Amino acid sequence: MIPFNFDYYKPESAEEAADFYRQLAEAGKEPLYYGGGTEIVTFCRQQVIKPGALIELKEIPETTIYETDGDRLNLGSSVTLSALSDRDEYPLLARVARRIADRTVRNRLTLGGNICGRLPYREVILPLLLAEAEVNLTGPDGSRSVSLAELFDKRLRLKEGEILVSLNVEQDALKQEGWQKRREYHGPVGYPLTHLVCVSKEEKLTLAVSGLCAFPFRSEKLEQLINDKELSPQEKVKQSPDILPGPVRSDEMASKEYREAMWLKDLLQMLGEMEGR
Amino acid sequence: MAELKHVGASTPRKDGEDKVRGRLRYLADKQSPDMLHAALKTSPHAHALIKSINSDQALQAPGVRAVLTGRDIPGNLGIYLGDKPPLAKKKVRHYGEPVAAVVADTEAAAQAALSLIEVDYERLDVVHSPSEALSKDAPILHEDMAEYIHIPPILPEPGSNIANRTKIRKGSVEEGFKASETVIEESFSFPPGDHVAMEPRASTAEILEDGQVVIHSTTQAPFVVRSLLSASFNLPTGKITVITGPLGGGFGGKAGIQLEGLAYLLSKAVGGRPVKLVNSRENDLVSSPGRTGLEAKIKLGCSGDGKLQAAEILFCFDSGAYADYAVNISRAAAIACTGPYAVPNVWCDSLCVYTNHPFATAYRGFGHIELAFAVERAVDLLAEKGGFDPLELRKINAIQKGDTTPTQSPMDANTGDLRQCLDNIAEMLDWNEGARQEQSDGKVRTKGVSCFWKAPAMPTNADGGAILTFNEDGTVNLHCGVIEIGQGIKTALAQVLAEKMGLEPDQVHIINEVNTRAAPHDWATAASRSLFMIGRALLEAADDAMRQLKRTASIVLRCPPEDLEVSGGRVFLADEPEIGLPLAEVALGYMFPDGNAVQGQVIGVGRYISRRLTEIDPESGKGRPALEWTMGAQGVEVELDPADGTYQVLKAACSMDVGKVINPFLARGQVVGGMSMGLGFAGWEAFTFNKQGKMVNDSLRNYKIMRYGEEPQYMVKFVETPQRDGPYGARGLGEQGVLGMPGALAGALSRGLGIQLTNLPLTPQKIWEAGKEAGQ
Amino acid sequence: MKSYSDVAKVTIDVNGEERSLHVRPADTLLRVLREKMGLTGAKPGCENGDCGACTVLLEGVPVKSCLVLAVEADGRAVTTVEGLKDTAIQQAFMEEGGFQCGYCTSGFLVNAYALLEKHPAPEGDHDREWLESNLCRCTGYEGISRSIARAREL
Repeated sequence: MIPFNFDYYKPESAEEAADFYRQLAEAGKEPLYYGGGTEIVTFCRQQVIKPGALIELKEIPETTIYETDGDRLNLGSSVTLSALSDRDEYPLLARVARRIADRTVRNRLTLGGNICGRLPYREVILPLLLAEAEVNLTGPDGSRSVSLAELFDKRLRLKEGEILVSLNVEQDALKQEGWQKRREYHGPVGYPLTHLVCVSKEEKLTLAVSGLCAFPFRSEKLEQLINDKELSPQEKVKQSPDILPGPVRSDEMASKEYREAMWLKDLLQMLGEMEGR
Repeated sequence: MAELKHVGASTPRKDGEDKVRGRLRYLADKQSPDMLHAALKTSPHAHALIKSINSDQALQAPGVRAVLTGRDIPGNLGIYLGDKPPLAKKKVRHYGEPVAAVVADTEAAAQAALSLIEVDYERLDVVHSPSEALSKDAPILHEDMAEYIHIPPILPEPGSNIANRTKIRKGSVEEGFKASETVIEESFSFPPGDHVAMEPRASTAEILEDGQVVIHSTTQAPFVVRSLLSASFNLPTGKITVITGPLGGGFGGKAGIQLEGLAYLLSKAVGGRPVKLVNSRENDLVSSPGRTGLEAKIKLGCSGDGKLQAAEILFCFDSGAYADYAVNISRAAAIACTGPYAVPNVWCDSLCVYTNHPFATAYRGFGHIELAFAVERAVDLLAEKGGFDPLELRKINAIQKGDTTPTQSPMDANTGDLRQCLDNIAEMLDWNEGARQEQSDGKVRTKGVSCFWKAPAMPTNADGGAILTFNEDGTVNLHCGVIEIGQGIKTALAQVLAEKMGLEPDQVHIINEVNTRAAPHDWATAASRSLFMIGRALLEAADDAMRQLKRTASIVLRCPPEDLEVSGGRVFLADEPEIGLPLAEVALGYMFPDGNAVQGQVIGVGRYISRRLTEIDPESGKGRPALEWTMGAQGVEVELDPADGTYQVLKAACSMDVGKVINPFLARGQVVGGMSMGLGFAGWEAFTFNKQGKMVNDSLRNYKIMRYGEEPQYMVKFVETPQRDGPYGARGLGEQGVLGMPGALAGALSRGLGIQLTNLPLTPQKIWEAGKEAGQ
Repeated sequence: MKSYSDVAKVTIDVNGEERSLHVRPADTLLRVLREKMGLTGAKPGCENGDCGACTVLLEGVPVKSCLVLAVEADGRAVTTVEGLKDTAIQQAFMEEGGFQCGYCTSGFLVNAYALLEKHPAPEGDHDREWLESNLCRCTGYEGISRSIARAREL
């Protein structure tokens, strides 16, 4: 149970939410945006965080959309991971979403929450980075649209009080066949040891990774390496650890050595299976 | 013998209706407005001095009624060895050890006050393992060991980290190894882990005006709680009442004394008002006890024909910070140290060792799952070295009637047929088609087998009782001190009674709650002894009741009582069955038409105490501590990918000799559940610590148990060599399903990898590392 | 904008009955069901979203009530195990040994009920995907798996 008190607000629009956030923050109330709630509720129970107020996002209509608009798919940040995995407009995102937590929890986990929350895995971002999605934000200073790639560096670099309202993905990115491999400590339900997602675009392989390092990433250097026609797959794999954007993670789930070995194995398998695609 | 009607039938469970409607109330479901709530502040350090604790601010917090720390509480608790203060005193000995407790009007107020308690620690060097604890300059975790009160069979060694040492000296291992053509010597180990019963522990305490202490608890052993509270806090046992309803799982973790002592002290601190203490899952994993870890070294020798000649065994149980049940676990492991094999020469030292890990209590298997891992690995290694088929080697050495146990106690005519069990495993897993097969995709299909045995590890005077009372409609009430922990014991006992008295099971009423003031004394619902012992007590109570029923009926029917029979809800003349009376007219006395009433109510009383058990000699281990042995064999079939160490358990098989299956459906459920738990023990369940000894997987997020969809195909086959002194020939079986799984899984994976794996958990990383080390 | 402070009034349809009560915004749905309405079927096995013993239906969808704030359920319909009346899944659990200690049972029944409503016939991986959300320590899942199959027959 959560042993302290906070207020809870249900704004009706993103503007109202952002505006109210600013008011609460200025009054020293320590507000937090509230999505699926799974992280916030557990961290409050453990008294790791102690917000003064929660601002509910799930009721804001702009955040609940899942619709094709011309040549783009618009995904609201409050769409649940179960909803993402049940729909067939974007199969790769569905596949990735389906691996996170378990189904009952996915009935609450939201697209925005998985991207913007405290846990460092953010796995839904992997196909979105490869799809070069665009993010729509609303903050106390107004709304803006930015490319995900520009705004994502280890985490989504939102301004204070900014809300991730929705993302757009181009149609041609939706049906791309992806390659995916996720490893866990044990059993399908759990944090990723490593999670690789690969998509072939214009005959070049693109790759996004979570779990391997302390943050999820898509790396230009790594993509240059894996697309280097001069190197054999074995050589590409061998050189890959040197150009990772951060050290390979070591934790209670797996050692650095095992993680790295699995990375090498999976990368090689990926190169083999994606050859000619 | 007449054919049995209820014993051997899959009678439906008696407690199903409430469970499938969510209506059964477990302890934490029971609320009352006058209840105060407690919360625990626990140590973030594995080993540290407590320099100071300041509770002033917490005491001022709204709703707080009391704050207790170790200095408020004299004395220690302990089942066999009084080594644990209810709240840490001068120092903390494990991550998660409670250092303070708050009582407040609401749970929220109690939890909120915890952060207001300031504790100043000075970190000490951490002891991470039994071998570290036994090394020359190891910090001594219990400096006051010499002053601890303990029962005589436990032999602590003050000045060391050894809480108990049990010795087995049978025959001469020197001679035995001389006669051995093949000898192996190897070390095995695994870290501590947890029971993870789905219901966390809870306890309430209240002290009434007349001084009566009333405890409600999620305990498997209400009478143990009563006697330990009495001993620890100088309370007369007659003034203590412990009440227990059905539990959401126990697995040994709720035996002994858990939160009750602390709940009592907290109630006392608020003038006897009712106080409720419920574990969060984190507290249940870390602050309340889990199961032991182990470091073992085994030297095993056999002659050219495969017959075992000698076993030299060292067990160092990781008991964690406190000894609790672990001093008896290490003792039980010594008593059974060879596994179910005939070994003429045995040397064993079994130590219970303190470390700075969260402490351990009874866990399903009680030393026998731990020893089975080490012994079964040793047998596999011996098979490999000596060129024997691992299953054949086990058959050759299967213990039989006339062979002696490590404590030199002869196996009697009740001995289970282990060879038959092994044959059944061979058949279920198609052992003879081959134990290892490489597939085209690089994966390997592989099998492993193991044997196990267990006798209850109980005090020599462990007992139980049963009382039968009757209702006006002729149905029976079964009073006993056994706790329903999920195993379905009350249903099985109802079947035994129904069989004995010729009733239908639904004419036997069970009582969901055990109240120590009302129920007959019962040692504990543990050690897989309830069916055996209470079954026996029940049969005696039934005989007693039937005698009384016949006596009353004989007056009315004007015949000798010996000529009467009780069955089908009636008392009647054996050779003129139409002459008789329904139980309803007799069970509460009989009234004649003119008003005369005779005999009064029938109350059947039965008891059972373990027969001719002895302690073991402190030097040789000689003695007869075992009530009965239930043994069997298990096996698994696994698909392993040696390249990354990942694997899937495809099949899990168990064949054990249970004497008589009382309820096949429930019995299978116990064994299958045990196999699932044993696989977790072997494959992925382990407490993980950082360098400071802090446990880093202290939630179910990262302490993983098997999930739906992971389970293998389960195969179970029972063998029935009667246990002549058991009820209808039955012996215990509740724990046994876990025992052989670690050995079988390790055997299969070792076979698949081509490298002998010697420690748990068998994670893909560990398997991969073993492969790398061997240069694969 | 609706706001909830200190103690707020919410109205929740629980098992078909409209219930109005006062809750703190920080109260989870699990706690409110158990402590304010006496519906103790949903259990606090971990209060961390890991075990599923607290599973209820929110607008017909299984959720872990330990992760849902009661204020989120304001104006919505909740179904707990107590609201399942003589369903096939309950009957199947009785027949096929879907439980032993019973502590995880409420959560499994609610989740399985919703699963069978959505997927009356077994298809693909749905059974495993849904039911791996709930932990059981007693049965090894064999009895539960049999119960799901049996419920489909009933």
